[in-house]
Amino acid sequence: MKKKYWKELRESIPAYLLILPTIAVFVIFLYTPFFNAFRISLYKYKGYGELTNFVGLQNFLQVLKDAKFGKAFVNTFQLMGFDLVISLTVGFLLAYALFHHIRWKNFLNGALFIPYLISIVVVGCIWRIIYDPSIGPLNQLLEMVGLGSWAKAWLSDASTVVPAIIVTWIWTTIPFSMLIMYANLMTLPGDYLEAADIDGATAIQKVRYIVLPYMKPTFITLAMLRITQDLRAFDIVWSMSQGGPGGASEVITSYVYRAAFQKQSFGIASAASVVMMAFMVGLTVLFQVGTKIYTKRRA
Amino acid sequence: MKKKILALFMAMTMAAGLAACSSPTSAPSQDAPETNTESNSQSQETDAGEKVMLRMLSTQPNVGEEIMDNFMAENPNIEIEFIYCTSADYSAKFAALASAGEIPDVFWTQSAYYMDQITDEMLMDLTDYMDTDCYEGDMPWGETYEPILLSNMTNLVTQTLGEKYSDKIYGVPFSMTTVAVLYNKTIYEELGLKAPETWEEFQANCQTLVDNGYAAINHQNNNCVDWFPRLFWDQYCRDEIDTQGLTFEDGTMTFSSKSVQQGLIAMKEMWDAGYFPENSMTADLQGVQQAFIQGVLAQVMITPTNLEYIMDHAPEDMELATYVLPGIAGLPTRSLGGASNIFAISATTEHPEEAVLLTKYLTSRKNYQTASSLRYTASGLVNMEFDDTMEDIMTAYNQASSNGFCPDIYVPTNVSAEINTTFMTDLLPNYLSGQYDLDYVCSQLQALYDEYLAGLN
Repeated sequence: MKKKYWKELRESIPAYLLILPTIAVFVIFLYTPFFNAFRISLYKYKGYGELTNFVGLQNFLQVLKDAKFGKAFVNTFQLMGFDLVISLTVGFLLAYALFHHIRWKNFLNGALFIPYLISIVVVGCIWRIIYDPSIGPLNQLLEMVGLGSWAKAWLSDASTVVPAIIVTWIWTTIPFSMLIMYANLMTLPGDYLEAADIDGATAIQKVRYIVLPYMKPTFITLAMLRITQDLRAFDIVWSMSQGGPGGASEVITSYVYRAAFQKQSFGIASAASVVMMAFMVGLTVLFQVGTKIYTKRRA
Repeated sequence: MKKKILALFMAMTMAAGLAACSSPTSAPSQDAPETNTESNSQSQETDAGEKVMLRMLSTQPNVGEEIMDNFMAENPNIEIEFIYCTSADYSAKFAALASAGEIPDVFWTQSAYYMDQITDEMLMDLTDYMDTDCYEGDMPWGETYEPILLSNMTNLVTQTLGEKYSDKIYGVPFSMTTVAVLYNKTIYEELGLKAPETWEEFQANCQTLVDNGYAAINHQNNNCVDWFPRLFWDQYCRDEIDTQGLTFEDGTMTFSSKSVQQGLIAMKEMWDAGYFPENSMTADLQGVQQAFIQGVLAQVMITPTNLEYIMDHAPEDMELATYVLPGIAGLPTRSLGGASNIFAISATTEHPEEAVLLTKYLTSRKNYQTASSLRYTASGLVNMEFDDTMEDIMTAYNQASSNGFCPDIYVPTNVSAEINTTFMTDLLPNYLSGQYDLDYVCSQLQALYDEYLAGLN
């Protein structure tokens, strides 16, 4: 047993050596700053000078008691939830439509991918103009089609600002999901679908029993990518609303940014980041355990 | 098992990425966008041993490359690395630079930051330099400024920070900032309105504009949402603060004082009456300027430095004029501003003499006479008249300053970056939208202010 262990370890050495530079980069540029951030979260700190004002866990308590943090937390997960569902669903539908050799396929493939190529800040500025209450085309369009009563200051109304940002965000994320899924669909062996045709399967049955199971790993990977990107959705929020009005569209990243760079409360900002990280790790562990239980039950 | 460890490692990596965002090491990556060059180089002499490099940070659209080039042409031994960011991004920019130990040699600042910077000993003491020659060399530097500007600054520091900083000068006023209402005279004439002389006339005008589908008035951007309350406080609190000598520092005035609340209530009444455009709390300078140019917004409270875009882009048939906002309590209107734009020198600069020279140049007659970007800027210097061709549009600005200035920190919502940000981005917008009630806003402000005072002691 012991011999086998050492043999496996010896065989793994080249692999460990290969990932060593990556781990070193992580340690230097990620984990060290993180532990530094944790240290800062225990101090009242303006972002410069020495760490002298130790406050223990007071920053954490302040963050957890802050309704604004709660709001930012909810908004972040709202954004993530809608993005996961809509981006993956619409991305899949578009990819499937392209897979079916529809007309103008190449043109549509390029055209639909354009939103992903535009810088997020530019996207934010464009949509900010679209949503503008007085000069924006959205309200003008609503008025043209007789829905003038629906026109409003989309980004200045606490009830519409988050949905407005989510729509914009999803607009930029769908193309990537579409592209990955389309690439995956292209690798789907034609035999499966031909066999299904011979067996008389309907289009829905083919999707349900062949396409979706085949694409399951892609969905999981895409979901992971979407989650990580959604958690970092700062630029879109900042360029469109700066977390306003009155914090209504604050997300965790904008909360951290405001605390650190506008209020100069780096201790609070660091504490908020650490809380978020703890939550993320908890969520991941939960996901792992859930997957394990699910797999066991299926088996 | 290995897979699980790897997955956990990846998850921690993702989460640590988020958490690390707030650490000083990664601070610059979170930094706001800027429009100019920036490197991490410190002030240093070149290989030739002659050129001195200074780093300069400006948030003023009228202090840009042109002025730097003019200065470098006159002082070939000095090279300037110029950094620009908007005033809205200043807090983020300065915090990032400070946390990286890269405070520029000369930089713009404002009262909300100025006080913090003084107490944090980040600013060079310029008191002795005030007796040295000004840039032109014909009079002492300190005597080139309108006396009221310098005295406002020193009084502000003494009142806020106490005797320790009494009569010390840590920065110099850049221009005499005044605030007035720019209005679309074409719309006014179309509706038969005239510039208001009383608060009641102002309200009536706003109502007429709203009734005719116009956005009646706005502040110049979402970084100035506190202008109206501050102007109201200047009226409502003047008797208590200026005459009776009550102060927030000794607790004889509080944020729950009736006069302070009156200012907030007046702002809410304007908001509820629909005088402000719906996007008032979120619109940036460009958005407000465009709304005005397109004739959607009829009036804007604006500083002269931000007039240029409107003046240059307004349609030819759009006639423009200005007036001073009448006092809500009927007292003579004092302008916001005064010495609100400050240039200061880093206490850690390696080239104090050159930094002082640059600062002298920025506030010199020569600069105002040569830089085209300063054509709408009142210099705040003695013996310097404003360009006659600008007289019409500048009338109200000159008039605004003739009654003096409301002290920059009066009701101290702008005494620190934390209180200022909380007030402008959270308390005020949510109070106006009805999310917070007046008592909550006042108690929160008081709690923040008490904490600030405790920090000073």
